[in-house]
Amino acid sequence: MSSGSPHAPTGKALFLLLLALGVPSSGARAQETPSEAVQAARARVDSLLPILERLRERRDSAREAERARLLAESQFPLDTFSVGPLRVVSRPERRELATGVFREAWEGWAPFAAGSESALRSTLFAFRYSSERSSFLERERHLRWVSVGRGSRREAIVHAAWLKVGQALLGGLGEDIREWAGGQPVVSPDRLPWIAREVVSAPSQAARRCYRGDLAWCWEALGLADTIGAWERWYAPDERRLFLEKSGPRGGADGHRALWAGCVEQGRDDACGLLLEGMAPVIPLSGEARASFLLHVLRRGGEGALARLEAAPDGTLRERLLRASGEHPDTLMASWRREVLRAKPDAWAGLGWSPVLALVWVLVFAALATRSTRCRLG
Amino acid sequence: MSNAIEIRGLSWRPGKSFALQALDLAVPEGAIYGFLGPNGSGKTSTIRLLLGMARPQGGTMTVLGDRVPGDLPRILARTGYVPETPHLYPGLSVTEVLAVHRAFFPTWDGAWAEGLRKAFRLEPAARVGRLSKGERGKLLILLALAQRPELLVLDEPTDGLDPVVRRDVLTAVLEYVSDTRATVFISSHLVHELERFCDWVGVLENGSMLAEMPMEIFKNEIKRIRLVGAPVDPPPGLPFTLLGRHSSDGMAAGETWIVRGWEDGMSETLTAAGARVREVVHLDLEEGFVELLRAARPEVWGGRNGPESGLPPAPRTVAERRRGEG
Amino acid sequence: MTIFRQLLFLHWKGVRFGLLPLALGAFGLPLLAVQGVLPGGEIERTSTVQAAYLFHSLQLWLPLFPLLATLTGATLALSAWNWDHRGDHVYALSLPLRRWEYVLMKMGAGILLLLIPFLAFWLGGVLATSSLEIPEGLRAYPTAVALRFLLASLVIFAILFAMGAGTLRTAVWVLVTILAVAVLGSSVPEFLRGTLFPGMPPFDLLEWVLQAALGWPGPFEVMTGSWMLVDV
Repeated sequence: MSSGSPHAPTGKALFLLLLALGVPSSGARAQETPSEAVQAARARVDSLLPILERLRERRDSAREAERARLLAESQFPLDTFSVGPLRVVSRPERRELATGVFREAWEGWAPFAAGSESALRSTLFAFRYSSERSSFLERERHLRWVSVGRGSRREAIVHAAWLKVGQALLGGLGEDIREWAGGQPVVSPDRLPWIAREVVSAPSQAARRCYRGDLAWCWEALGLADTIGAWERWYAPDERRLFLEKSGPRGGADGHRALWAGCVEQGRDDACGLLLEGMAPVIPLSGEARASFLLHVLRRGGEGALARLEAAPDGTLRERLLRASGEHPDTLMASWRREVLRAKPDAWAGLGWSPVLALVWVLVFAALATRSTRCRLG
Repeated sequence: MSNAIEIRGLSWRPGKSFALQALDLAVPEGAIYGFLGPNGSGKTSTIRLLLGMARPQGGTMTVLGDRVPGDLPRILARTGYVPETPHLYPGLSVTEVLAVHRAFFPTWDGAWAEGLRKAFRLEPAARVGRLSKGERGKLLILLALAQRPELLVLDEPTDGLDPVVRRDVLTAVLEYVSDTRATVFISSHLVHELERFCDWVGVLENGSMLAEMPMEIFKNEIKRIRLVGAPVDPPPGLPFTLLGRHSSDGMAAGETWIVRGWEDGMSETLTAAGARVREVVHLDLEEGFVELLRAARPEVWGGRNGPESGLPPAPRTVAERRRGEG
Repeated sequence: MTIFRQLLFLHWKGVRFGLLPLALGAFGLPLLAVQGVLPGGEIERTSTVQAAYLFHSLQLWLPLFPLLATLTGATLALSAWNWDHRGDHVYALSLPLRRWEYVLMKMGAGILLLLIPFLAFWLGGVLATSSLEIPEGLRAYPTAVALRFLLASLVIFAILFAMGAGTLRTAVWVLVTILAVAVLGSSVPEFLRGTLFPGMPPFDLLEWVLQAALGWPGPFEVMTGSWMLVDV
């Protein structure tokens, strides 16, 4: 939700309501074993769901009204049309391109997003070229913008649309999943090589064991295991020291600074342990890696996977993901690990076609140089 | 007799203030051609055009039988060039310069180059950037001669050099020419220097050729005549060319005419017009050169045959005369 | 071959005092890039921690690699024409050689001299990476990065060599165009849109030029790849 929008009060009200009900915060702590207190809190939330739904509907109606007003006021002609469950607005001359692009984008999500189209009901996608930026509903923030350069290839445009559709679809997932996925639950497949790099090189023994093939440690490295004692399980003493070294000493309390110095400069593990006691363990693999696992789960789950994930708020995140995928944990994790490591280039610093391109340019400039005229004296 | 250099109708305008205009020039094979002209007359520009370093707007140029610019590499392989401004790479030693230059000219005579180097007293390890002006001048001549060219193009080769160095340079050139019958095209504004060894002369002024003829004729051709009772309008069909005229200083009722092509016995034509020739003075190359310039551009060089004087206009250039004759 | 040898000699004479420091820099830079990674020491380091330190150290020095490649190419290109420019090209123009032959041979000589800093960089990279305990899962790429260094310096050399071969007027036009795009590329289209052509779509010329130059298939694409001496 953007701040400053006309719908902010409604959004804020929802947020405050949830906070008041004491819904446990998500992220690294999303994997806490459900306690009776949490179950009670969840029961209270469930009872308020109809109210939330009505508030959401009111918010969506308000947004629709606002959008309709802005569309009507636009000085440029705009077309609003449907592509499957998606609603798209674009300039008339872009309609054909936008229709094709969003159709392809939706096809990338349809296999496992069927049944979850409700998340798209309140979303309006807008397609434009980035050069039209300042002329096209600039201030409308509730649109999901697909904004591409004029020279962009079709695959790149479809990919951009796919990302936006995914963000809209997965944006309806629970706060806990979204926070666990690093706030951005959709990751582009072309980030897989970088995720592979992370798996290989992350300063965490959990990630290292995952890389070596111990699948149980992959769950740990993705933060999908019990977080009690996670610092000691996920990170070797050296690695914990590295984390604290990079975090730096916190200003203020002398005790903290002394502990930090004892840990980082003197190499005392006990000092490191004391410093980390009060900190939530940092999941070894990044939000991007986790988001890629989420997408992998949905793909493996096939039809209705997203709906299953949305509809089953009980259990740990690990359990919910397994339920969504419908697979055995080892099968699921092995396939994800395989997919990630397969994306690692054979030679990361490889040159590809760059040498050919560079030599072509050298020849071009050599040809230009030979046009140097002899008749250069005035 | 064929020409080593032939230029026809060359025109070139690099800017607003100067232009080569329909320049005609012919250097006979085996000649030592002195290309005379004051500073800024276009000598260096002509040479650069001849060697393909600038592009003319019109005209044709032929050097050693080959066209410029189409056959330039072949021309340059047989041409030794000494430019007005030394152009050698300052960081090289004398030996290195010779080695670099040798690579480009298959006709290079290494033994003779070494002999010249010693004769010119050029230290092998001396850096070009540290040579004196005279030494650099000698090195340039050495490079031009050692490649055994058929044509030597020398652009003010002795400019700024002391008399000893000038003598060394010119002696080397003359020795080479006497051995090989190479053609020499040498530009200079030092008239007295060219007078001694050139057998052809061309005079350039403000982009136009004023005169081109064998040196002997040029030296003997221009004369100063003192007249009494000269006609206001010279009679038509005079057998000589009147370059300019002015009142004689210090003499009563007299005029001084500068003429070209005067021969003994021509006095009768003036006597028939009512004038009496009092004196015929032969002018040397330098005096003749100066009078030619004055006649061509009196507003620049002085002289009193401008339009207000009532005297005849400046003589036609070589090109104009050839077109008239043609 | 004799002519080429002399042109190579001329270029070497003119550039040797600049080339040697560049070669030393090219040799030393990879070594400096890994200097922060201790193979052993008082504190026991797991290979993952070593990987983190290695990446951090490499990424700190990484921007200097393409910078050095640019400097190398520029030095060799400008030195190729330095003496010719000082003598107004008169000597070169009086040689019995077609201009394009002369230019190509000079270019070849410059490219040959480029191999010196390239070899120095490669040697430095090999030494640097062989002195490390490469953490598990990572690989050293001294040859690939050295080749990228060579290609990057080659492209810069070719561009500046071509500019140096032209007349002063050509060089001035090129520089003026670059400056104009850099200074006015963003503002002029906006001004035109705001005044004379309100229907014109927004267009950032500078951005477009940068993308075209740095991306595929632009001339500087080779500079934008990976320069990591060690990576997965």
